[in-house]
Amino acid sequence: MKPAEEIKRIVKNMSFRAGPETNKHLWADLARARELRENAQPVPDRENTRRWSMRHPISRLAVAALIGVGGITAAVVGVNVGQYYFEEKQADGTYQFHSEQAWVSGTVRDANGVEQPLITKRATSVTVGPDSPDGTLNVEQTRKSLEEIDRLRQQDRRYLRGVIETETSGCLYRILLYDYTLSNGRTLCMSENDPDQKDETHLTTAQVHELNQLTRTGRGQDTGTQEKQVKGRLFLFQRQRFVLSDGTEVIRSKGTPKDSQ
Amino acid sequence: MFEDELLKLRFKAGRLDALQRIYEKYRDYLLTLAMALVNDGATAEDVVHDVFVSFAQSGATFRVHGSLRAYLATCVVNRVRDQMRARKRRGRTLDEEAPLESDFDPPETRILSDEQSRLVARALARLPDEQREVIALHLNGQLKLREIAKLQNIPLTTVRGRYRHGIERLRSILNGRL
Repeated sequence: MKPAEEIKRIVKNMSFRAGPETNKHLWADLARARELRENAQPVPDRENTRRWSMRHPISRLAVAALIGVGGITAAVVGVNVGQYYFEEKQADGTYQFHSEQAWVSGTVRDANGVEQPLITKRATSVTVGPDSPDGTLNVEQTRKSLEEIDRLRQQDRRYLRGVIETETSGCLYRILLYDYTLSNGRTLCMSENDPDQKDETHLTTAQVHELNQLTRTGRGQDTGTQEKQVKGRLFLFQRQRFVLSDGTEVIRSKGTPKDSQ
Repeated sequence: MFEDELLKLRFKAGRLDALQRIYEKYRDYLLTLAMALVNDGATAEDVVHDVFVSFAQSGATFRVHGSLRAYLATCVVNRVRDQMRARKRRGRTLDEEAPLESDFDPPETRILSDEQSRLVARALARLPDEQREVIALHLNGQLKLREIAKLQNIPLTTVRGRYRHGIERLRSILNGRL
């Protein structure tokens, strides 16, 4: 048997090189990716994202906007990203992160007619599922990822890969699923409420859990497909009807971009 | 090292020549690391493609305080882990029982290597994921064991153990083959 040192030398000398064809394709994609960035394309080109398939169980982004008047006078230019803080690990095993941002969004006149800066505050709460089999999460890495995702969101450098709609009692509630490609090469998926959709879900937390369980176990009744434009793109929705234990009827539709099918 | 610091600054400033130099300097290094980790030309190519494309797009947001090489190696490992998870979801893993000597290697034009390198990559594929990753990162990625421990968020003693056991297993797999 060869001594260990000899094995190490052999492994160390292992060498693979890109052939001319690979080299040509790699560099072409690379130059194209850089060009896209330079031209500040709002949405990454599909061809460059198709192979980024890693999914991170980040879910449920809730954004609340608060407006107030105060004494901050600094102008905020460009991308405005606040720090994320880890809040707590919840009973269901998920991790809660929180961020608050404040910026001057304009001016208003007070009771004396004096112009005062209008301050907008935004509080963001994000729930993230564990990323390892033992149910834990790298909190510091996730915190950084969330900050990077915020930057990408504000630059609209993301890919809308899915839409989930829930209809109940005539109200439509929509969640958008975005892929974000981070600088470390990972593609994370984040769901968030559609800001253009005014309706809120009328389901209670217990009803949402029941609906999720019914969806997972495939107990919905297929009611066909439907094409719909979302954010300027055509999506094909698979519609399913569910009846909850309290008799509430819910239509849940999952939409995927038609151009990816 | 000094060249890398300059490259990082130039790349951040949006210089195409810096991106090109980084690409030329680290392309084969990353490809070898990816091959050591996945033993599959198409997957390794995908991984390196994704890492570089993502890197090229990071531009002004790019921030690395340490070594550029270690950063890129980390990106490759992250991508490989993603690919492995995807494979496992699809019910595929590295072909642990594939013969070491294979007559069916296609004539490679996309990725070039010698027979010994292919044999070693196939032998590495027979190791458990955690041992293969440590060996590839240390011997092919040239990362220190301490850096690997930090990267994997595990104790240094665990890394040393995985490395030692992995090398022992490789010795036994490659016995009489080289």
